Amino acid sequence: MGVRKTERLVQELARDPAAVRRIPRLRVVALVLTAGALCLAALVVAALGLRPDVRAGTASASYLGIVAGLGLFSLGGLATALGASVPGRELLARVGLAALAAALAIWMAALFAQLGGGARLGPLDGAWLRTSARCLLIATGVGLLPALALLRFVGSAFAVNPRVAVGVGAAGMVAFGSLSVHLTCSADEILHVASAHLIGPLVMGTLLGLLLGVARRVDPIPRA
Amino acid sequence: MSDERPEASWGAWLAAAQNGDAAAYERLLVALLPALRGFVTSRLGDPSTVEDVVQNVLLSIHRARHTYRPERPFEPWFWTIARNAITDAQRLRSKRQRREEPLDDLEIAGDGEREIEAALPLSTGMTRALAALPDSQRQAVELLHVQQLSVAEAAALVGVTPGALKVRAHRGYRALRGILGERPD
Repeated sequence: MGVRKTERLVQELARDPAAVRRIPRLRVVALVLTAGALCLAALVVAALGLRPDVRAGTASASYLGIVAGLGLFSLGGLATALGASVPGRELLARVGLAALAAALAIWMAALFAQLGGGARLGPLDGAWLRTSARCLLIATGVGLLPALALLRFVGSAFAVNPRVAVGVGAAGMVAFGSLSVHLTCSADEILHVASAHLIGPLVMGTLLGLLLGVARRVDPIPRA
Repeated sequence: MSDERPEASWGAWLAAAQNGDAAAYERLLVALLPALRGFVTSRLGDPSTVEDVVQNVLLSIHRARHTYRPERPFEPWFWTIARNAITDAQRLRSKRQRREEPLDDLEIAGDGEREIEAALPLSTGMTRALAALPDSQRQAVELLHVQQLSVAEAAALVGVTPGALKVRAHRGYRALRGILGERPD
């Protein structure tokens, strides 16, 4: 009974031979999204100005470690999202996840190095709240447009793991925004950097991705 | 050296199907079936759900066919879709198992069956009571106790899982007790 149904299904599917438009190469999608996100980040840097120590080339190694970690997180998030959006690209998704883990390890090491180097944890007062909210908003704002573009691609592809694709992908795009914030914000207090440049934007990005993914109905493989 | 395996043509057939070639598409889907059935059977073990999963994979291939790029190998693309459909089926099965109560636990099997049969011979009253049941419950009770089919046979005939059929039958027994004046449970 079931076998006959399967054969009928094959015939029905073959009767719908409409030509389809292939998705673009993932390499092209990655390049376009990275270039777009970097342009937006560059605009923010141009508007707010680089930190004096970065401009003078005297930034500490731990500071540069956080910058490198943000770059790695952005690219890792993008690779994970693209790899999870197309069947058969698990390796790319795994490489992306490894990059995310490496970025987190770099951040932890850099923050501990800063703590060891005598950096302040920072006061948790109104000023901290205002500065952190500002940094968080800029990072999320910069990442919003590339995140939407990425979600559009994920929605048009065939996400093997839609939640990972939209959540991690959007977090990666927001990390580009964090990069611009970290290059321009002079506040070095550990709590501010951790909450407003690293963890906060990534949590915001993940939530944003999941919400927009639900709103755009990024659809998983049909259920049995 | 060129690849002589039959699988070597699959990617080319899908690429042709992407351009609207119906014959290549049908050739591909037919060629995939034996390998796909074997793969699904080896992973699921439950023959009653194999064809459902195979059909889901075919539908997924149809929906995802625009994501295949001819410069990349076909097989990882195809097996990922198949693996995901199997994972979905396994999730669905465990969800169903959590929702459904085994018939034995409900004290319906064994002595319970004999009790019902003894108390409720297929009389006019019983016929009338059976007629009052919802279609799905009446069908389950009739297949198991009038036609004396096994749960697996009855489930295959109705096109549901054995667990679902047991639940339908259990609800039918409970409703019959109620209709015939016994305390339901």
